[in-house]
Amino acid sequence: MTEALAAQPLQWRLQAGSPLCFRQLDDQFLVFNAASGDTHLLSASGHELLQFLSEQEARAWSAPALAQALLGESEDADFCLSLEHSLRYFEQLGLLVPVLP
Amino acid sequence: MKLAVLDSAELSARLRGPGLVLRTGPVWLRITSQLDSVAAALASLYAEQETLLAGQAQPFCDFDVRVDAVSGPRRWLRPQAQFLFDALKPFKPMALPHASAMLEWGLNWCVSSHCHQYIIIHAAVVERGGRAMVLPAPPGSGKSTLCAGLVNRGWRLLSDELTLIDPLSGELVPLARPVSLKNKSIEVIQAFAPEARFGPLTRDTVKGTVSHMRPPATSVQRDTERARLGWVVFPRYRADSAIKPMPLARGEALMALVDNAFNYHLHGRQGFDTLCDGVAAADCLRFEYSDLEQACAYFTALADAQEPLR
Repeated sequence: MTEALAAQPLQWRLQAGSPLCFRQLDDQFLVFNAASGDTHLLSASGHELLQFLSEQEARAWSAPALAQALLGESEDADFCLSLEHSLRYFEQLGLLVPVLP
Repeated sequence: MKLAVLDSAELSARLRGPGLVLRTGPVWLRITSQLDSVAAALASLYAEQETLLAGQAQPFCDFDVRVDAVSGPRRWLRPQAQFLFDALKPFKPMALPHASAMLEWGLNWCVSSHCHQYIIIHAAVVERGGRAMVLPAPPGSGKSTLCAGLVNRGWRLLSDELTLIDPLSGELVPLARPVSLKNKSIEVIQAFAPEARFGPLTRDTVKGTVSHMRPPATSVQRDTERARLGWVVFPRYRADSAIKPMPLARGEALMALVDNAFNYHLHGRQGFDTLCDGVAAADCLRFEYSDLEQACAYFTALADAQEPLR
């Protein structure tokens, strides 16, 4: 059972009840997290990822599932790893919460 | 009525008795003190501020503060002064000669800790042609020196320490109080603007030697006139540097304003939208300088190249 759980990819979802507000200033992107009151400067790819998550139904996403949704394929290990790093970073910022598989 | 109209006997009587009531920008203060040094500093630095005629009805005072000598054995051994706000003591006592500087620092604390109807940013702010230039920067960067230089070359002082932004309108609210200068900056401004009036020199503070410059009369007279954000400038004094303006991306400028804000988190989405709207309409830059006259001329030319807002 434990091994089965460990084999499942990690998942994240947006903080419940915390709408994110996005703004673009020049070519830079900002996000305001109403739940924490924090503002963050985002890279273009980070902004695209968060924007995508905030536009989806409230659900949990793994990196491979996101890769599938964004690129139409989930086999690119480097891209999945990069997505997972971004998701972990957003978790540290309090924008996402991890979800137990 | 201007405070300068009070003679020294009347000023001292008010300070020692019911309190000196005066307005600075959007706040009314009631100050009491038995100390001659505090009376002299107020007479020098707040000469242009509004106070009340004898017998005039008192407005609600936002801050009731007192600076006095600590009683007891401290009167004899390294005398100290204490700042009180509504009879509370928010700070440890300081050396008695620091009393008038302590009043200034205490008033900064009063505003930054309580005036949450505004977004408050730790930054100097000056205005020309209806546009405000916000100067956030860490201590030692030359922020207050540049601010003092600009207000002695035709810019209006809104504040040298606390930028107040109305979160509803995005307008910048004046708080034209004395400009705090430290160490070499004092001599620099005295040479740059010999007509500028200074309060006492306060030596051996944690910041070194400190003196406050009286805000220009025209800045105080216009201290209910708000301004729009025109520039966000991060100044840095660098010895022997030619003036060096470097464009700064607005996203980074906004994050730096957030980092320098006292109470941004209290304003939630409204604060985010207001700062974004303000910065989107402003020019943002980092600015290195060593020659104050050149720096002032640069910014004046920049401001005068634009249509005045009012």
